[in-house]
Amino acid sequence: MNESIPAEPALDRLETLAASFRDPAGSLFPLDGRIFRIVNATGRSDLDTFFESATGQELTDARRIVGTRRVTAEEMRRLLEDPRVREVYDAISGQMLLEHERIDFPSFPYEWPPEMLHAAGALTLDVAQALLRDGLGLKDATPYNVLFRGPEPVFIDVLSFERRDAADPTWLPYAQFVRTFLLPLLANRHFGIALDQTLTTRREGLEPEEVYRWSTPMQRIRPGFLSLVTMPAWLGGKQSPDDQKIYQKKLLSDPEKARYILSSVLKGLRRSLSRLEPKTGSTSSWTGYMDTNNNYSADHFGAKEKFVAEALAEFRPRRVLDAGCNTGHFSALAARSGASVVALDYDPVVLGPVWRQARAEKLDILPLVGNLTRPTPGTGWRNRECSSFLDRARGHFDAVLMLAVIHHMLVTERVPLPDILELAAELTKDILIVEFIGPEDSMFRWLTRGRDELHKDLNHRLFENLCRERFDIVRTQHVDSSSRWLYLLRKRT
Amino acid sequence: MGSHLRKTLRIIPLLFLLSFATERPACAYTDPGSGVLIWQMLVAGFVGVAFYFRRLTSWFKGKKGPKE
Repeated sequence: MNESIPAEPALDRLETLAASFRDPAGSLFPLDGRIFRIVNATGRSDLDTFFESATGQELTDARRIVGTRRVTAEEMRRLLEDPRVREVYDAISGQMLLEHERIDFPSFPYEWPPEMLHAAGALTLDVAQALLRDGLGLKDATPYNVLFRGPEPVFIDVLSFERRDAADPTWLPYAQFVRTFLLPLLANRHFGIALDQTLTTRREGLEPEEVYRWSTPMQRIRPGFLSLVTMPAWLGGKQSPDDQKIYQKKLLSDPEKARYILSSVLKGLRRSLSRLEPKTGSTSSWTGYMDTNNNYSADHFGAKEKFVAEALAEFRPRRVLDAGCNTGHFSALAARSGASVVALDYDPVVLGPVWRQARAEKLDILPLVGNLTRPTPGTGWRNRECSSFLDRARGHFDAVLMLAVIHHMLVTERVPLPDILELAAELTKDILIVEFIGPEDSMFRWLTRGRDELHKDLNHRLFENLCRERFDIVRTQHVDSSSRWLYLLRKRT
Repeated sequence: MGSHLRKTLRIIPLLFLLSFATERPACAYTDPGSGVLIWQMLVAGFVGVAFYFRRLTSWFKGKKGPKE
């Protein structure tokens, strides 16, 4: 229930496990790079029912829910010898131990472009609708129950499944679905508010009352707003907080009717979600960057592509970070060479098409909204429920691409060059493919906005000397008649 | 005359909707999220009526005999 993968602190500093704690039915924890879940009597019977059901089988076969296996008795005995595992197991009266497939790079809703939140919402409704057939339901409906395997959403919270009271027509997580999926998508679509702005600090999303205050009278009577914002805000205002009657279960005598209502309510949510599907063809300052503004002629771009492709072919990295990915051109190149790619850009608008392309072409690319100079922080209880971007990224990648991005960090964010290279050395385990752009470059000058003085001593020789502190230069390529250099660097061990 | 009346009739629901659009939510403490739950219940009520209506129509169709 309401799940996130806790940060895994270094084992030598660890006295207790970073285990999830919200769900009374079980607890999830990482150990030695593996993901385990302890389940108690409360969770066990529902879980067994789910895995024995036809829907459970179908969702597992389609890999729409996270891979799950029961740990053998012998393995369980060995794991419970670890006092930290034993402590969590006893604290929640554990009965069963599961191991889950490890999703290569966990990500959180505030790092997704709206297209991904939309896909996570569609998966949640698909699961809820499919479960109805077997008399099961979902206990909660939050984007934290979903992670992405490349561009594909995967439902990870297996303890969210429960046997439904056949006479109950109410879907309790309805409001949570509205708050955490529909209203953030609505705020994004109609007010241009990015998901990181609404979801980083709000685990439970947006309230209709908040969105009501932002909207104009004309917006409030539009169909999309009426059912999600206006009517709920109006009805909520009329409701006395002391009146608990609405929270009492309302059971119907006819289970068929209850199921029909529930199914119709889910279909209604599906229609609301479809109306909020992010539009294709949105633009931002960076959407046309690769076509018009990146100072490359077609020849130069071809040479850059060849340089990167050869480096990828030579070193065959399994995991790649493309920092400042823009259209994801090089992410796709890396994914086609067999790598699992995290494509990072701070502009969610450019990431929408990257996600669509990756999904359509089945490329192993996880597009994430983020900025290396202002990386996503650890969030939730003690900042440990959802780990920071850097905690997940450090030492995770065999190759890091920093193409036409360093000058942005250097000029716009004023991060010193040695610090940028130090961070790159923390992120990659092996190679770094980096493009250096000198202060004479027009893009560089556009970014400095007249403050040329700040970077007057910067040149590619200085850059190379700084690189040599941590990396060996494997090869370099000067892009003809420009102030751009490409480097293939290998981290010294 | 008829079209005039129709126009007026069309304005009435619009005015009704506008009354929600201009309502200022009370500043006193309200139970956030309860509105969504009540809305779900209202929708469920309508769907419940539709359920009987559907059953009724399928019963009538059944009376006519199965389609070949």
